[in-house]
Amino acid sequence: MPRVGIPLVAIMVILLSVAHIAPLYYKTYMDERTGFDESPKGTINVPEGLPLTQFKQAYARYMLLAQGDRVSFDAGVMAANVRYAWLMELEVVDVIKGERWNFSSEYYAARAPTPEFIAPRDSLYKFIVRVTFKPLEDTARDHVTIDISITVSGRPSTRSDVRDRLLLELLIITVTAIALPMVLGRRLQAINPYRGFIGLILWEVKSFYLWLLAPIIAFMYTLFSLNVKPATGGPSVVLAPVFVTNSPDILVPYTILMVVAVAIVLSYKIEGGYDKAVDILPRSRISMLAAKLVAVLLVTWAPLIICALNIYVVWLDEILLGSPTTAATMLGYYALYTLTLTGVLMATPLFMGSLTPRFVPVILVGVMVPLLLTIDNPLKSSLGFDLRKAAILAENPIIYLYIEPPRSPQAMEIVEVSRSYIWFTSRGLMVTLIALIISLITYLRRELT
Amino acid sequence: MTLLEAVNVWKHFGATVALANVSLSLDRGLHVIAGPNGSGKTTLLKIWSGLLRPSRGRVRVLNLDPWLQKTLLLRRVHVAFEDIQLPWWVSGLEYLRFVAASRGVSWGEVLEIAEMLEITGYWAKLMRGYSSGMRKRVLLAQALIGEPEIIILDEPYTLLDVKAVRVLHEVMKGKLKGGATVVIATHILTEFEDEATTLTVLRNGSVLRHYKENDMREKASIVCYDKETARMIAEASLDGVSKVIVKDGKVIVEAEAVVPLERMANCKTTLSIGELYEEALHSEGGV
Repeated sequence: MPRVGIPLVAIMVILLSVAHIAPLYYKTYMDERTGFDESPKGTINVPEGLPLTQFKQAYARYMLLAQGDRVSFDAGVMAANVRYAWLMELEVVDVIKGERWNFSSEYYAARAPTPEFIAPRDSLYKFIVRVTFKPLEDTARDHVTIDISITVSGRPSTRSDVRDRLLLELLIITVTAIALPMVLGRRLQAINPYRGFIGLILWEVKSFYLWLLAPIIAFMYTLFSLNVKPATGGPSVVLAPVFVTNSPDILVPYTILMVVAVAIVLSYKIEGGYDKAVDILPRSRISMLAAKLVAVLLVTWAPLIICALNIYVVWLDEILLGSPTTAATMLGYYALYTLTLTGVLMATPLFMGSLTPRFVPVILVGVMVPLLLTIDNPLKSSLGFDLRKAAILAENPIIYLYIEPPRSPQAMEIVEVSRSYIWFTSRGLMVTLIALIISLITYLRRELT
Repeated sequence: MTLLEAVNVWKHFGATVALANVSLSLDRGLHVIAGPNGSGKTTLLKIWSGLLRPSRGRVRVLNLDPWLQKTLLLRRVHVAFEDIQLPWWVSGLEYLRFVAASRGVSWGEVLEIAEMLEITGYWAKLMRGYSSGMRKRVLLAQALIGEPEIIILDEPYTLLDVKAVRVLHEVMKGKLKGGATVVIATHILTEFEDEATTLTVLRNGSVLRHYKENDMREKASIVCYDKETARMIAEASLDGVSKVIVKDGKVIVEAEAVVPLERMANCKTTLSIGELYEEALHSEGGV
């Protein structure tokens, strides 16, 4: 057996003890943002306006649901100066299986009981709600102005009967990662893992973990803890529920934290002369740069990607097996989003660093610029690229479609993702390219002088 | 055959001129590059190692362009520089594994050098706990493993204790015997450097003197290594010898009595590179 330090043993003990607590966690599989709540208001001047029977609103939303998840809907229509009825049509589509369910009912009261949808299986569902306003008198003759207020909301209910596998899985992975070297011991030592490009990446990753892994893991756990809500009448559940979020509000500060940390580490290594220990070896400059970039992505985004994969691949395995194209598209968004956001935010400090002899002092200033732009005013004005939209897109690519008013509900099928994908890709690639060029200039300037 | 070549090489760091029109050719053997601080020794070696690009001039090492063909070059040329910081977050063992994998060197060869430099006793610990000397040994070990054609060492003796310097000399002698070329930049000259093929003295980024083997032979002195001769001189001094000077092929003895000098035949002609260096530094003019 190889020598195992006391801290490692302590970590193992803590992790194993936490493993018993993990099943106590429950989660809803839904980020609350995936529910929808719309209250559009309309004013119609008759006869200048459209015929009243054409006042029809449609809402579409995609949701990832687990088997047994309940989505309740609430709808209402209020209008002044006219007697009216309204029609609610609900269409639910299992995007993966292609199965459809329809509900339609006419109401005469302002609010009415609406159905609840119980997901028959783990899948991705699309909900289309259409509300049609119907006047019951001839308003055109009276020349009246009608104010209409429609409320439509759909929200998945909190589950307390589903085990949260995520924390348990993370624990299993962590314990396995620590335990494997202990168990395999000398066999692993006999293998030199540093051969080739993979070895170089491993070397770079190792150089990051001491500084970065601890805060990143802490940050990830903070994300979890931030989303732990108090139990609301569930059966003897102490800690419930927990859910994973990929909301841009979290991702943007996370990215900025990561960029600052990475920039500091890179600067520390360069200025401290630690990179020279690799420079003197027969490794090409390009491979060293590439290994650095890959290591940055791996170290800083692996926790988030693991969470995303956990939801999309492990939990909703039907997506992967039943509709690999959808799964690939979703994961593609994650990859693009990650690369783009990292590239954009890295570009400024790197560029400023390339212009100054000492890198570290300019990092914070360099990061502040994209930070402010990203949080308060997305880069839309300068680059035609909205990072906040991109974040929403990455969270669930299809949700993005709903940000813009749906033009034709019938056409909003999964096919539309590809159009949005192209939109995102073209801008994403452009920004990534710019970031890459700036990074290369930075690197070359440092290396060639 | 010229292994390392620099022709009219200039190197600027902003407004600072580190090398000014340096031309130098080195063949097989042991080469010493000496000079005071800031004379350009490290810069020249880094240019030969492909770690710096010359501002002007032509550089070839093993018939390769060091800057453009750095990867190929560093497979055949092993280097160690004083300003390299070994990563403290890994162990010496791990770093040498990384080096071995990068250079395609067998672990047996690593082990051999590591044992000679006596680093196996502590190499499993993280390098953050190493002393400067322990770190220096790891740095030297990475340059000495395998079978490089050229070994470039920048200030190899600093931070090393006497024993480690002796071991380093043994290893380098072995490498030289095996056909490798060793280039050392130093301002600490030991007896090992007395065996040098060439001595180049740099000052202010220029070559002040370049001594080839023949030039140095002319400047050789007599040094008596063997114990018997040393004893004889010691005895002679007891017999009233006040001063013994061995220089320029002559032994000058100042004594009040008769001394049996004929028994000092074991003395041999050799080079005192330190004196040459001092002489060069205090002289004026170029090569």
